[in-house]
Amino acid sequence: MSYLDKSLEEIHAALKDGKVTSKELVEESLKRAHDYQDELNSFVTILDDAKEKDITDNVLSGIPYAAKDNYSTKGILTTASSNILSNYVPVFDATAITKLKEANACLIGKTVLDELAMGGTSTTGHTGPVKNPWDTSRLIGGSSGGSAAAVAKGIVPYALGSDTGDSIRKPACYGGIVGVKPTYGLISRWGLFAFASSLDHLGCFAKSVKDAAYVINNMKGIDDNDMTSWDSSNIDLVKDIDKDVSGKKLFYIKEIVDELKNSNQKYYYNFINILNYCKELGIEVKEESIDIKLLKGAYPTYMAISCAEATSNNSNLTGIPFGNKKDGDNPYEVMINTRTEGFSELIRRRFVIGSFILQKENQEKLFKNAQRLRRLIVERVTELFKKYDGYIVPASGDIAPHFNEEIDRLSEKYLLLENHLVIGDFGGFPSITIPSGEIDNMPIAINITGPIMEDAKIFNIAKKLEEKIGFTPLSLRKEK
Amino acid sequence: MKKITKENIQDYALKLMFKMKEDEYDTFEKEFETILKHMDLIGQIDGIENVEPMTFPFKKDVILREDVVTSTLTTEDAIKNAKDVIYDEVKVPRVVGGEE
Amino acid sequence: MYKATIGLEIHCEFESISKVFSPSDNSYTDAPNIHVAPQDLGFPGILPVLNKKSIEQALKMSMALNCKTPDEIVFDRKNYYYPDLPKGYQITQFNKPVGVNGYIDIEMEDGIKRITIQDIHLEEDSASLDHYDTYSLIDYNRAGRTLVEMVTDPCIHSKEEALKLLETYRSIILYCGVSQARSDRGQMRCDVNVSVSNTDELGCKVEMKNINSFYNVGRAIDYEIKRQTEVLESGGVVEQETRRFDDETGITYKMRDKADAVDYKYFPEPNIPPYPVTEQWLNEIRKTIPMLQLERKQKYISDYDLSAYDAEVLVKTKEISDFFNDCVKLGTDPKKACNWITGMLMGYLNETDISIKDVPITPEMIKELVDLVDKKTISSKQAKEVFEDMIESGNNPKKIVEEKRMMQITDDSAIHDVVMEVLKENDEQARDYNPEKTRMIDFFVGQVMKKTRGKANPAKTMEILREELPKYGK
Repeated sequence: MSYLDKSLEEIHAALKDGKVTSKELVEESLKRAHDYQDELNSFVTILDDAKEKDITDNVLSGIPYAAKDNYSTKGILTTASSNILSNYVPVFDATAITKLKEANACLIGKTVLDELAMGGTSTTGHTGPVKNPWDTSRLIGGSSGGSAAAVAKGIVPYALGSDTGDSIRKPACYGGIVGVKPTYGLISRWGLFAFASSLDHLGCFAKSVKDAAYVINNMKGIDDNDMTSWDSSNIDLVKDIDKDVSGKKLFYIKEIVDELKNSNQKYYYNFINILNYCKELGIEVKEESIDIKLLKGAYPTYMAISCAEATSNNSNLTGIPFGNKKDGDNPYEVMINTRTEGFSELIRRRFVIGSFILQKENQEKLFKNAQRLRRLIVERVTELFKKYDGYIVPASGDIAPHFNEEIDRLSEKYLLLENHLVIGDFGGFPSITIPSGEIDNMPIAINITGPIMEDAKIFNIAKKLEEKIGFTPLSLRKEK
Repeated sequence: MKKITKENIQDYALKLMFKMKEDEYDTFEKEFETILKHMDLIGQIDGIENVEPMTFPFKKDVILREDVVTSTLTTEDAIKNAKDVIYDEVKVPRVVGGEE
Repeated sequence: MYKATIGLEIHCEFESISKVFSPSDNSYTDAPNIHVAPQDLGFPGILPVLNKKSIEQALKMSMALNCKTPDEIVFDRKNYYYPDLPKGYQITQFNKPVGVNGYIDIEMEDGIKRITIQDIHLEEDSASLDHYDTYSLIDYNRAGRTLVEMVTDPCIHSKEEALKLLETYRSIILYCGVSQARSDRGQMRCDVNVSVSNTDELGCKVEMKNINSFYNVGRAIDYEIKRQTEVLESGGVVEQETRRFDDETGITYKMRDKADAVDYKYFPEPNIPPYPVTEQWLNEIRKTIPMLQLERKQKYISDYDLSAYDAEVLVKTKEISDFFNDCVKLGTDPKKACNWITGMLMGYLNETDISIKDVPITPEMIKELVDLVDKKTISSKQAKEVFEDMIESGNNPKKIVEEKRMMQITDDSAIHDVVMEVLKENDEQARDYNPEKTRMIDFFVGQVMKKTRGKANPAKTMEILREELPKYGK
């Protein structure tokens, strides 16, 4: 097995011992990125001139990684997988990128996403769809699909993503890897291309919970450039990750699990099995009910808030101070031509919907009601968190779908099972998806979500459960 | 709520500085129908109108910035992504009339 | 009888070291695109970071305008597209401004009039555009600069009131020290709403945007009142619309009508969490608000018995008024202090076009100078010479008087001796003295002055001469 496929701690030890060099790891990673690009299309840009870095005491030093192409990277093309930014080279780094630079981590590429991160399939990027390494006739999910595919395939040990609805935690499920988004504001949003500011989270994919803990530890911190970031110097996600979890309390949401039982028996039994593992670990698991109306309203709420904020956030894309500008006889024509050609049809539809929702005559009924429902959901979950350390749910309702599979976006299955992860973004709750098994040779996963700022606790529980489950990631299953 | 027609879709789109194409209306109408049904799901919650709208995931103390200059781009960096530049300024076709 | 109703929306750029939502330089410069941070160009991934100073300035103005302050500071986004707006939205305050329901008292010829204020809010400026024949150029230096907008109720009924309000508002800005409010640098800009009606109901509102000087505000109001009155008189209807004032012709042109009104789709800015406004914080800020222009003027008239004219001149700028206050505080007679300040001092400042901060003169010096004259150490004529010296050199009046040996001889016996000497030297003329001939006594005064090189107190000299001359040689 190549050192690149080992855990971050193991790679770090090997680097320290001189068994492998940063240069070798970076070269290996770049080679894999190229080798699998045709098959997976996970990268917008592969940084062939990526350099090795000095090895320090930081576990991430000298180790390659990839970042979603909506992280601002100084001097490196950053497109958000949209034609409108196909030539944009930022002049500043996202804070998270700066922090990883300081940790001597080696960025080897920028990964494909759904255009402007607005989607859950990773099929809408301007450089084409990302394919699932487990089965390339299936999608990997999104919007952080390129990063998920890159980690699932073993191109990089970890990769950065962003999560506004479930854009890390869903593709993690479809890719059989760990995907985490911590508490809102634990990681600065400075330099993350805004989709829906009140829901946007940064996070990462890794092959294991502990690897993810090291990555988030290095990304987090209060930042003068983000007023919603907060001081987390007392939080160490690695330190207590192996602590005994007996006595911890989790609940599962009855309505979601009932729907799983109705629609996917195999997945349901997998989930029940996981609950048994919890009990074996001494974790008490109880069933709790959340008003089904609230749960069914979650996805619509997400659509309303995210489309509305996105319309506004992306108003800066006019082609004038930056971006793929098109000609016109007056400034309005310039903007109209730039935006008509720069955005795909889907994005333009979302923007029209978002602006409709914000219109003076609709705002009260559509936007504000969505914000109200968001509060009701968050308050209900927060109330339950008073009695529990978190909740555990299936991360999706099924394995990754095939490309062009029709979905009924009004079905119970879709509303309850496929989109409940958005609750984690509503409340800014720390939330982690870990693989729980397989159905038809495709991975499935569970998700653990906890109270704000209790990120360490969630990592701890996820780590212990991960050990019980003993899932082997795809990239470790066959010879490279 | 206004009914969605081709005309007002185009009007909304133009206000957002882009055009919708002729063959895009059908998909849009379908999607919009779904969205409105979704919005109905929100409206069904009893007493929703009495809830305070939520903009921030949670309450948190904020630190304000002290009045110092900590960030300045070079002119070169500021305008290097603009397609048309003269005399260190960003060029657009002549602006007629005025907004703000 | 047609009555005009006017409302003003006045924008003013506030001065601080850094901008309101970005840590880049907030100061004015001619060089394009050098005072910019990523926020000011609206690059993807930027976030606003709120300047504490800007909030304090806005709250200070809010309280100076007698507004009700909010319990927390929150911001909203105003969404619209324009080439000078890099983010495609402006961060402003829509739902909860820093101040609502305030007022400004303005002094008109027939007394004080209260102009009520709808709100005052903090926002960011847009980039600036320079127009050429076929293209426009964008300079982002101004983008993100601290801007405060004050909106009056439609309660102004003449051009004169509007201009007086602008002047008074500007004076409050200057007195509060939040901006120099210079129109020539575009720091102060004004939207003017005018309607005309011959009934109790308001007429249709016509809005004129972005008028860049007080003079042009006056012209725009004149033109609109005339135009709307003519439309109504000829049986027409005034459309609710936005018009553009052309400062070359003095004419307003239609820009867009009500149907085209932009829906700004305001919603709360999600990147700036609410910041609480505590009573303690407000008190600290309130302490920094000085007594304002009108109040000072009234105080000068009532407490110091100054003329309305003098009081007006003294309060024209806060610096001068503060200087005067300090003189009075030191015990200088207000009228005498006023004379020196409005006369010699302001004359000098006007002539040289500099500010009081640029001359080395202190209230202590004025006090000393007035004392020297009061004690008859020097004559008022000499005092002027001393003043001219001290405004250049910054030396104390006493020092100047000593150096120039200006001390008057006020000692009776000393003057008496000189007088007797002069009389003896001019024995013939002294003997011929005739009280009817006034020129005669002037001659002797002149001789005494000559002998003392002008230091003998003229009044004293005269007194002694009147006493001694009739007795001389008798």
